Amino acid sequence: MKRLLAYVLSVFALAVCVGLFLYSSSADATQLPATITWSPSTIADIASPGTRQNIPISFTAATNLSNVVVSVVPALQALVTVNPTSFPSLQKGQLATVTMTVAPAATATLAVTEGTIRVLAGTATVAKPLPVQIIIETGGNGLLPPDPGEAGKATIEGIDSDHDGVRDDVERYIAITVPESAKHRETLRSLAKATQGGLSAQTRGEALQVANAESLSIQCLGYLDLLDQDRWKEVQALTVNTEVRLQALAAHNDLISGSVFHGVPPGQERAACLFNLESLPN
Amino acid sequence: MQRRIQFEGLIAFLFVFLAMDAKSQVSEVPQCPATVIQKVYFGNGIWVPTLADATTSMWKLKKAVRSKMTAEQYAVTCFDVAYNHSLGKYNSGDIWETARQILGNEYPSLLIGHLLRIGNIPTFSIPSTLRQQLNVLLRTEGARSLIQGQTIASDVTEQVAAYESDIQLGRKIVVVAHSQGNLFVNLAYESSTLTHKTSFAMVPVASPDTKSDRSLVGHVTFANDLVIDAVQALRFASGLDLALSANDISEAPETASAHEFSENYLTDTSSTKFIVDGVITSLHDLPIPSSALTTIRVTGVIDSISYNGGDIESIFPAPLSTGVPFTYTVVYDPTLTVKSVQSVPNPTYASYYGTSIATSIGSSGQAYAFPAGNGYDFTIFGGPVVHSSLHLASSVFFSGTSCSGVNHIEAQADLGNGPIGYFFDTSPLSVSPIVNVFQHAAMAFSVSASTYPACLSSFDVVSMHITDVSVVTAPPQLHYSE
Repeated sequence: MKRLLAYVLSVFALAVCVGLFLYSSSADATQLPATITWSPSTIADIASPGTRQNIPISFTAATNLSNVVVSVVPALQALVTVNPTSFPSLQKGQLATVTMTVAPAATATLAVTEGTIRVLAGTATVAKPLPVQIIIETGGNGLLPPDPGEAGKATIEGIDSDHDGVRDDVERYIAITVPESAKHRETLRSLAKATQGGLSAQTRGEALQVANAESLSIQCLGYLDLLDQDRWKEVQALTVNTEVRLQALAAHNDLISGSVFHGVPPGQERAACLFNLESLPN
Repeated sequence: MQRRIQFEGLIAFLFVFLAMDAKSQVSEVPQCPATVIQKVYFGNGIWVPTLADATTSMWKLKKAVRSKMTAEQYAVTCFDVAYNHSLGKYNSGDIWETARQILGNEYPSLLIGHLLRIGNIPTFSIPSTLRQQLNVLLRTEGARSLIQGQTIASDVTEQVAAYESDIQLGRKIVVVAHSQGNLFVNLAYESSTLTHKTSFAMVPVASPDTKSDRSLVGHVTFANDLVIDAVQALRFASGLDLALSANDISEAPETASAHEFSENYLTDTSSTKFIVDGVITSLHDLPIPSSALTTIRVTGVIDSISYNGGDIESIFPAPLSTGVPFTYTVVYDPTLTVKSVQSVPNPTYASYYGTSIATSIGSSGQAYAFPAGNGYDFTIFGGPVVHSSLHLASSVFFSGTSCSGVNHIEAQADLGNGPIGYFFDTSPLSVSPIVNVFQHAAMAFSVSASTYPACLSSFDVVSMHITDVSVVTAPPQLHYSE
């Protein structure tokens, strides 16, 4: 009896396996999932209210597509349009170029809006949608560097793809969390550079130089009455986000310990801000 | 080939240019001007993970002190940070490892965020149970390092040099020391290279030390400061003398340990008052470093003397006579604050003005007339004495036992070159008689009749021809070097 039961179960299992194999083979043969590859693979754009930017984007189809429609999800439609919005057909491997226009109204709220740009073939969505992040902030303009992810944690220096002295992950954090004040963002960027510089400093001289810049950044925030917002703390905590960076911070502390750092003299508090305050809107 | 070399040269030039540009963006802090006569330092405590954190405390201290200062006082005060390590030397792999066990792989950011006191941002928030574990770890390790950590003279060498430099420039110094900063300041004060220590004071906050030798105002420590509590427990268990005792309580501590400077000691009403008043009182009470004083020898002939109960004899050897040549020396403080000359219409003041005709204001005042003259040109504020012509000068002598106890008198003078004057603040008056030599026979001084009635009858005025003025000793040039 036991032998019979084992036999029946074995036959059943074999039948299930064969069935699954035949099903998957049939799906492969008749309905390959349509895919596209976007370039760039993500978009994070900063825009000021009342401005307009045209950003070229493109995608390449992995299969032949027809009745192709490019659409913006509703969450982004007040900010983003695309042109063209359709292609009669696209051949496998063909590059399709689209202009993405970011044009927030003058009354647009300072905020971060996330969504996607989708491609449909007929009524079916083609994977994958393009992730889009639009940051509306005063005085902002241009694309943010892409999120470096874990790759940005591989070294002390991290990734600074636009070579502006601010690590990409920190630059994105500042842009996204402080949309309301260009002066605040600029000061935080100065602080981020100085903090990162401290992690990389090899000599006492180098350490003191960047430490002075760090001190001035804080005094600038004090002058702008922004210290209590604590954003500077977030920037520093984010900058020291790996064990190696934590050890580098401790080493930097040792290098500058025992030193004296000057406050800006009375009546010259404004001099703590190392950028042109008048050039920024707020 | 040549084109390639040109191209590479261009690239090299751009590289150097960009490098120079990047360097030039690291600006130096503007220098504290020579007119600054006092400096307040903030010495940070333990678990201050970045200089930015210490600088924030300094800025908030500056803001609090400024709110209680006059504009004139603030204009002559600089604020600096004396930075003490609180990560690195005293930290150990044990703390990192334990933090990792408590917080997981994201522990570096979470730990720094916690030390910077950002708990309300989701990215950096720590569950309360883990936060409690972390706090216990930090308190325990902090207390241990505050007692066992070896703070040695070389740790404070640079800070002592900075204090000494300021003293040599004639500046009074007050260090607001928090937590571990007290150990550093006490060590600095004991340094043999620090001169004129009487012009140096500290305001101890949450001190783990047993002493505060240079505090003129006492100290403040919360009874619910858990870090200092842990220090006291360790000291007691080890048979050590206890740290300065608690004398205040944090009514609504912003952090669990009630130890942090900005969040607790500079937000609690009573401790903030202690700190701010302590700074201002200490600056007031500290004597000007003698290194800043100029001794001037004056010779001349007295034209007239008006005795009115003052103590002119303490300067001029008796007997004083008109028409007799004299020599006396003046110890002049070049760091006195310049103020504008102004009339004093308030009838509660007795004021005396002299150009050609003196005016009396106030019921008890007396008028003195000084003949106008061209006078002497000389620079008081640290520069060289410059002779131009020999003419008339006048002096006021304000001293004597009748003014004992007076700790605030203003005297102002028009030196003839526009609205210029000097602010005098002497304490006590009988020790530091106000002496001034003016180039012009125009002067004014005022004394509050209501506050200092005794002084109204205790001044002498003398008019004289100056025949020579020479500097016997001069202070260093008041400039600031980094």
